[in-house]
Amino acid sequence: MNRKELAEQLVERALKSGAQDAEAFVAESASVEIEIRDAAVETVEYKNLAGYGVRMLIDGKMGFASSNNVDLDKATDLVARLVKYTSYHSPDEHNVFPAPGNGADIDHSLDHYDEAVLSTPVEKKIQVALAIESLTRKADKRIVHIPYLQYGDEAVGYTIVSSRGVSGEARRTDVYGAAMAAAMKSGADGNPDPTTIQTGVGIDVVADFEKLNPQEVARKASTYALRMLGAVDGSTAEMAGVFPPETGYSFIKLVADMVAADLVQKKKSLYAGRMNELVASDMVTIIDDGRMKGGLGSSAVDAEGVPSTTTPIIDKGRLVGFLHDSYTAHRGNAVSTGNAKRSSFDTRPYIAPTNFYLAAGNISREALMGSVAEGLYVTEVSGLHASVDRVTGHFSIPGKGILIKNGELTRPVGNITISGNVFDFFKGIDSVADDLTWEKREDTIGTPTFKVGAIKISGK
Amino acid sequence: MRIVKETILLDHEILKKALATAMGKGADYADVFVERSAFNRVAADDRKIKTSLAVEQGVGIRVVIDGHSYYAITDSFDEKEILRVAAYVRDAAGGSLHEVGVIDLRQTERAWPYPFKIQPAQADIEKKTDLVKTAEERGWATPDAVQVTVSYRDSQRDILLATTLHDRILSHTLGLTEFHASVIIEQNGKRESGDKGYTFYSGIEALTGDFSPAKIAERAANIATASMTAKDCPRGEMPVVFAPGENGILFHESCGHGMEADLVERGSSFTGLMDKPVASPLVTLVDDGTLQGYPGSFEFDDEGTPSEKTVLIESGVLRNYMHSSVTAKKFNVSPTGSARRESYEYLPIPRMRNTYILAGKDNPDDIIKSTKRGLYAVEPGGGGQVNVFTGEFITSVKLGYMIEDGKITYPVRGASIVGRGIDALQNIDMVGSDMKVAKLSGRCGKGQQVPVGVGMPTVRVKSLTVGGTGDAYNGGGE
Repeated sequence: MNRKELAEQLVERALKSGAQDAEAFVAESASVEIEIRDAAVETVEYKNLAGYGVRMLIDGKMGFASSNNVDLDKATDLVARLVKYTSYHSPDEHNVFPAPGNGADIDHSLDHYDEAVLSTPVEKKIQVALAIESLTRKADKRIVHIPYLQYGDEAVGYTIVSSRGVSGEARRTDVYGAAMAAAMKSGADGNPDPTTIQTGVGIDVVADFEKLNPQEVARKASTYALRMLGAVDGSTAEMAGVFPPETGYSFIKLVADMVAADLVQKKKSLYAGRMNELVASDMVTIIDDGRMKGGLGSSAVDAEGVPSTTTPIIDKGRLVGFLHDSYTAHRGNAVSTGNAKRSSFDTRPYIAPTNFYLAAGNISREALMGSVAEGLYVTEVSGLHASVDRVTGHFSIPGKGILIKNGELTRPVGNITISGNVFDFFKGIDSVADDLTWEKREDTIGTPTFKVGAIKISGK
Repeated sequence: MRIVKETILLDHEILKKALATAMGKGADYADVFVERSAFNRVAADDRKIKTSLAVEQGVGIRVVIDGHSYYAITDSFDEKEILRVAAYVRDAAGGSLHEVGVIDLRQTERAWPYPFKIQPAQADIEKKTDLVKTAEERGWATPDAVQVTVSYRDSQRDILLATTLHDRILSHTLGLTEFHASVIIEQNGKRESGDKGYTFYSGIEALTGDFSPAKIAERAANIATASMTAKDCPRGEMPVVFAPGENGILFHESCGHGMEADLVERGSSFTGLMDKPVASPLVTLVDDGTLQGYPGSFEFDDEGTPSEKTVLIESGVLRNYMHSSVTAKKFNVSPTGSARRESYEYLPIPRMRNTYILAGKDNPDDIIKSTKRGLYAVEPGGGGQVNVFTGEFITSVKLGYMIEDGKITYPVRGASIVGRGIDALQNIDMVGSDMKVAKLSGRCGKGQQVPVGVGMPTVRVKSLTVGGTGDAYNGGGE
């Protein structure tokens, strides 16, 4: 039975069990992950997964169950139990399944899928992983070892069928290489001095096997480690902050999380009740574009079968849009923006960005740097997602950076935290460069280098 | 005595055949990990109840040769498919065909009592919904409440493990009951939140007394209310006193991860320091998988090694790392029962279980009294993070109090604490007698998510970098 047949069977059985409407999401994935240590294979993992999630609607109540046992008799039992579980839900008039189409076309050219991901033998993938390790190790004699080296790929396909007439499918492939480089300065005895250790992580994610760039992974990992060698503990201060894409990413990702309409409607977002208000400086324009050709976050349809769309979020500092799925669209009197996502068949749809980016400005990175008399070029931040208070917007995160004096990078500093408030941070952006760069982790986020007038730094 | 009827997940003859196949090209050892799980969830959010239900099953087969691991999974319990996957992993690992002796596995009797009085998969959905509603009501009774979220989750994971590492077949049931409440309040346009949650390696019966749904919601509400009057935490370097229990996340991040042997092998900041001082002599740190009912506990780990209480740091001196069979062999020591997997989908790797430092001699009140100025960290925030290679870590303080002249004064909120693990451990100058292990809510992530416990008594670190959103801290003296 293929995915579509299984989905149709599941919908039919749900309706027979007493559901008034039903939807089945069936997903299959195949992945390979390789870890290298000391120029040899450490682990190889092969995972083929398949399973389904069923949502059913009874008297305004929307239940959800999932399983990876595709045996139809077992599925019938599960659906029957789901009817009982659903009866304990609260009815909600906004529980709806989307009707086919939201005005946008279903464009299957948005699905990026490379057959070579599945057909390439694992030996060749191991060679790619070994090449990344060797390039990273040889990038500089101060690179003393490679604590992490991973190659991974995944091919995913899913099908959605509902009793409201939706029948959609999408597929994608991802291929990634990741390296961590550890660098040390030489001590008095000429050997690497472990107290000077700095690490750098390089990641490259692409859709096509042949497009993975081992040089780029090695370059990032080595450069990010080497530029911090000799870092001293930073001092408590307030100064301009320059955020290149590798750290600016975290802040744009935070906006992406906070403009999910469900958080907004439940007053769990900083942006609740702020539609059409100025929430950032006029240098800031942010867009979520699910229809970007070649975008790693693009797809023909979302996890509810709704075609992807382009959604302006912040226009010259003004909040103009939120990311919607069918539930929040109905509740907010809006149209679904096609932002429903499921990380796997066993999760309900939730709202997530597609290709979410801060639009490029019109000055070069060099000109932006040249305008800074005194500041911090922020090279590492971590834990923003966990640290930020989703209600007040306060954050306080560890960071590292390189001090800027009259436009020039001077001394690397570490052991500091950067703190502030998300609103003040975005209102403080006074310069955006033209070097838009995409980073894909769990989400696909783009950002150019940008500058914030003043950031609070804690240190010694 | 309660008799629990066991279901046999998979015929033992199939397991033996799968192992014989997997060992067919000269593997050092192989294991077959079989799992059948059920997950239930009831949540109240925005005054609405929602549930979900999931059932999953799968088999993971591992072959280890010279410290290299090869792994593949299937969601089928069919003999042919399992043997196909076993052959696939064997071939991926390479080597040449090889005579395999008789696979003879002893079945191990379980020594621990069954962890659930009420099996999560059997407990009625109505009962679970009622517990959530009770907490929800308590949450909404908070003055100025604008949002209440309550989540109940349970899991029951029936595990069958066959391994040539110990020549055994083992079976047990893992699983958790988790309860979490969050309350948001609003006064004059200003919003604050508070949340509280716990994880138990036991059934729904855990949610009584101090851990009743209403008590958990009340604690979340109190944190939100106290935060409303809190000032922004000052920033800079200062002494920090940690309240007992959940703040043990400090040790989980600052040193625990760096002592997981796979990370030691990769050059963590604890590499090469065995039997050397890495902490103040006041510190004895253990990782303990034997505390029944706690989130990081189990009778044996996910490759069949019995769980234990491992002394990591003894009076300031590094004594052990946490090992899986793969790392133990490389270090020429015995595994410590620390090999864990999130599920059958993953390879077992060294992980923490319940990590805590032992009680010291100081009276907790005296620790506050002898601190001239500094931060008293009470409620931790949303977890922490560490770079195990440089030792740099972060943990956060959701709610704390400033200490002035040995007295607790005004509340402060929203601080993070950063430092280097070994520096922080060596800066500990007082350890209280009030040790407490917390049934920590949430998961520890290291590529895979597993439940863990943390603990500590009241502890003072004489100097840490505090990243608050408030003014620069201008010295407090001794």
